[in-house]
Amino acid sequence: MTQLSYIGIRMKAAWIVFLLVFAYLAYHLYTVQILRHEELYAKAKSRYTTVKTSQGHRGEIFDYSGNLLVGNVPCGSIFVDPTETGSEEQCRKMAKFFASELSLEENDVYRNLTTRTITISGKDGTRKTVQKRYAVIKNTIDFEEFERLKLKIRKAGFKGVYFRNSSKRSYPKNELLANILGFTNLDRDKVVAVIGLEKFYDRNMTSGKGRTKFERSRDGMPLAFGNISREEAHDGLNLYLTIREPLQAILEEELDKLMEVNKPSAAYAIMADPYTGDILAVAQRPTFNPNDRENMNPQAWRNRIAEDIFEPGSIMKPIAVAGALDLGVVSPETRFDCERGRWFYGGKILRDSHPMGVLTVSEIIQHSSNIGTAKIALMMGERHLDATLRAFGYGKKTGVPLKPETAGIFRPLKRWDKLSITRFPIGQGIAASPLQIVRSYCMLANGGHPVNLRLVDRIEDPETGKVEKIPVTRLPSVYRNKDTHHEIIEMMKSVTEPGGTATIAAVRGYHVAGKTGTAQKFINGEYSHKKFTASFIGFVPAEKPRFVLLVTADEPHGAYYGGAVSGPYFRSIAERTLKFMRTPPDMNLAVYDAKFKAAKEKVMEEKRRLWAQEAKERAERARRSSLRKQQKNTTSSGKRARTYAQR
Amino acid sequence: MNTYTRSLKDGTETVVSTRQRQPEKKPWFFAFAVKIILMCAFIFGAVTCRVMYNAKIEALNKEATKIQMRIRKINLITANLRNKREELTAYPYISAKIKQYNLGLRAADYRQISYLRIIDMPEKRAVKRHVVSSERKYREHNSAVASIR
Repeated sequence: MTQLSYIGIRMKAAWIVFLLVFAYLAYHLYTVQILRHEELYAKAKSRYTTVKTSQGHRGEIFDYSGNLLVGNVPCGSIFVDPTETGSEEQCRKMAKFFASELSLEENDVYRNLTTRTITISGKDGTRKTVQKRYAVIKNTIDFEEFERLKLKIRKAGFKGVYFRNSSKRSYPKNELLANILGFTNLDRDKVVAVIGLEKFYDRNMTSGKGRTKFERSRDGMPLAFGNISREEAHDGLNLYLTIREPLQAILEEELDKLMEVNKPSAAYAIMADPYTGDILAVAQRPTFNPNDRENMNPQAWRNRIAEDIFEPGSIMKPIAVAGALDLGVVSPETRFDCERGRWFYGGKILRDSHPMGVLTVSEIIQHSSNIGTAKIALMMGERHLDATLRAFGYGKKTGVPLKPETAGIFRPLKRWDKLSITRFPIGQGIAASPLQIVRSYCMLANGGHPVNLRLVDRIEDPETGKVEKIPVTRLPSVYRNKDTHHEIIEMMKSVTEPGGTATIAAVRGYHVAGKTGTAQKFINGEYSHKKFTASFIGFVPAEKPRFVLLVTADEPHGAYYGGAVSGPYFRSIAERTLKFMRTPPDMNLAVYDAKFKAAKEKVMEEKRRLWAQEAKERAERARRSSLRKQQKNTTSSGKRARTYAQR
Repeated sequence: MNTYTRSLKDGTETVVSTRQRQPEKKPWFFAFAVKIILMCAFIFGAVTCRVMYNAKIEALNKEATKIQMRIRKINLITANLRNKREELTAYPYISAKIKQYNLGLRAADYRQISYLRIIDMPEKRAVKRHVVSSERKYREHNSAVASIR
């Protein structure tokens, strides 16, 4: 019995214990399932839920035909978790490996691998030490190198080393079109566009981040029946420029030659389609290689074609004369006295580079007479001259997608002084950007239709394939007289013909309409006699031009005339471009040569006649002055004889 | 169960209820067990199917992820190669190579046309035609001679 009663007590005790445990469990269950449900559920979910982010590709830039100008090249980053790297010996081994493979400082790598804690200060200023679980070994490693290293590291069995694929901006054509394309920098993981089209279209080209949230298995793979929420990464928009890469290459090559021969402080060339306003090629020197950041000179970044202004000089003359022809105040045969190279007007002397007598309007353009052009402008009047220059786009931005862009300097009519009317038509006192000049010549070439210069032809969404074309604007001609176009072109053709200021810019077999411009630079309040801007601008073939081309050298050494400095490069660029465009010559080459030779002989004959006439005049003057001297001598000797006699 | 008896002596018939052995019956739990087993088998089958299909789905999923990763890698390689191709086909690179290896390449020139004209010599063609005709004449003459013979 005794034993039985013990058993009963024990049983009861066991029951009580069991009940207590059960009660505790029930309470715990209640706590876990009901009281702390939200908290624990969230904790558990965060354990088996993973968020993966991805980044779309930044938009790429292509030329008109789809040649890549700016792209994204895959690369990789290697980073470590210092808490997983292992013993010091292991870290030393890893440091040695990374240092030799990635050309890094071994001690720096070792420090990265072994620094396992960092001290951070919180928002309230308290400092605390936390585990450091992320240290970058190297970023943006070239793709092939990265893949090779990945294999090597896996083979070596290093612990705590992680890899991340990323992409970096690449400029496969190096210097080609560098100023226009611009470049981007990396600020931590954020892409920052610095200049050029990269900056202007940054918002369009920036890619979006993608985010995938999924429930994962132990090996990190998404569960087939788990919840997945996905936000797709989207790529940036692609730009297709109006630039033709082969023409761009020609332009850059010729500009390099100009820099080598004439050694100017800067040079630029722009080629545009006069009918659509498409910029076919554009180059400037100095320039930079966006792939070589170490040797980049910030001075070379500036987009001179849009930001810089210069006094165009004689380049302005055809525009003013076109206005006068259109108004009907002059005809190509109207004659003006060019005052033998010196003309006093408004209290100042206006000079020509060579003394000239009476010239027709055509000859004024051909010989680039400042005095003749000023007189034509005076006949036009201030109001009409202002209206003409403004109609040709001076004082207005061109609207190309480059920032900043200058509107140039062109005073409003109210602020013109007495000299303005004689100086603006010869390109003094007015400043324009190279783009503005090209736009005005596009108008001269296309019959006076204002054009908006285009640099971007179309924008493509790479995901949907949708293409948005940037429209070409075609406005009515500014000419009221339909003969104006033909007349001004005939005049401009004579510039490259024998007797003109730029025969060196003539292209064999084609009629070239153009104009030289030699402008003195305005430095410290006065025109320099040592520093010039030498330009040549023209279009070929003159009657139905395929392109307008401006070549400018800023402060060339040695020769400084626009025809002599920029003319030869205009010719070589034009020749190569016409070949590329398969433009048939205007006439048979033999006929062209014969005509050119005959015209040259005619000019030489005329020159010889003028020289002979000049020599004759000089001789006559000398004879007269000697006669005068003789007479003086005789009169003075007679006087002396009389005085002696009187004495 | 009642037992119906008849006396052979007096022919009386009595009905005696006697405990007799019941005819053999299946035990209740057997049917229940069968049902349970069937249910279990069904559940087991369903679960096994589910596990099997899950495993297959997971395997396919893994395969798909692997393929996706491979595609991504191939895309990266393609992007890298495209970039390389663009670098190598750029005119500045080609012209630099022409200079480096001093290749006798030059741009097409108008003067090449006059060179082509020299090749097309009319006299030579006339001479050739003459030769051909004389040969033919010779052959004709010979054959004529042969036929006379």
